[in-house]
Amino acid sequence: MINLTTSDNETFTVDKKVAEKSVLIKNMLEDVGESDQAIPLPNVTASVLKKVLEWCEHHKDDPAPPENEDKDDTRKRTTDISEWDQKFIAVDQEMLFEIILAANYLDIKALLDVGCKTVANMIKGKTPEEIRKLFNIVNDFTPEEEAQIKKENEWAEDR
Amino acid sequence: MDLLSSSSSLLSIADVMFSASPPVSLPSASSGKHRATSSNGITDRRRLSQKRKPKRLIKWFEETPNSIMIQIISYLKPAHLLRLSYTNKTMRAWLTAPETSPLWVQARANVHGLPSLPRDFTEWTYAAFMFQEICQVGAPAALMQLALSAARCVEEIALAWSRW
Repeated sequence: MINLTTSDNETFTVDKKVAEKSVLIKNMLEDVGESDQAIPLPNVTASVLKKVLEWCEHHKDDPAPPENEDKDDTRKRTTDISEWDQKFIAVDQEMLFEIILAANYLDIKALLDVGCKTVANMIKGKTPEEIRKLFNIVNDFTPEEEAQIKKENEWAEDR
Repeated sequence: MDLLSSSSSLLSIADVMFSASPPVSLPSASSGKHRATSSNGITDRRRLSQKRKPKRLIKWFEETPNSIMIQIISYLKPAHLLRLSYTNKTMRAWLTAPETSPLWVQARANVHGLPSLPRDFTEWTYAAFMFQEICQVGAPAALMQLALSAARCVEEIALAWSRW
């Protein structure tokens, strides 16, 4: 069993197999060797780690993702997400954001993929105004520029 | 496999583009409070105080590391990037810069059967043409031919139209 301590000083005890879904933790364990000392995770809070570990537990028997299969960079990418993952990631925006950052920090590629696909799916089918609202983007186009954009589209429609 | 980690040049471009752009200011800290008190009432204020933790506004495009932002965008199609480019100046400048064309190449790869980038088109103008201005009565014959060859994209086009 492995002990993990969060930024808000909570300690989680998990199976080595579960913890090693994180490449960061896996490498740490390989470098330092196992010990009773808890591994500090200063970038992750307890509420987020709990969620991340829930994902790791469910996926602990998944085959490890192939390393560096970057031969074909630009092949078609889909945003398909498994049903379990969809339910798992149905959280508020703040938690989604934190899960993505934690997956990035902990180096859990498959979880990072799920998070990024979820955000991509949120962008799909949205108008620029809806995207602004969703991601808190300030519309800094001047009224003239905004009109110009509209005009461009009117022109397109008139053709 | 990973467009983002593997293509370091693209990453560094993104770093430059994002960091060079002026920060978008947003009255995020006050907005929650504003919402609670503006509709004049004790009830609103009480409701706010009952909330254990006020929701934080995530400014995704500023707070998300560039590598993650690029990964998110890599799942999108040209029609989505096009609409993203209309959200604000920074996004538009970033997505219309020649340096970010790899993002558009990936976006085109995400659409099955999309004809490759014609000569004399930039990624952005091609996307605008394909997903915004296509299927118009009176479009020049050559353009219509290109449109026909992209018949498989009809769904995308319809989406772009219905939403824009």
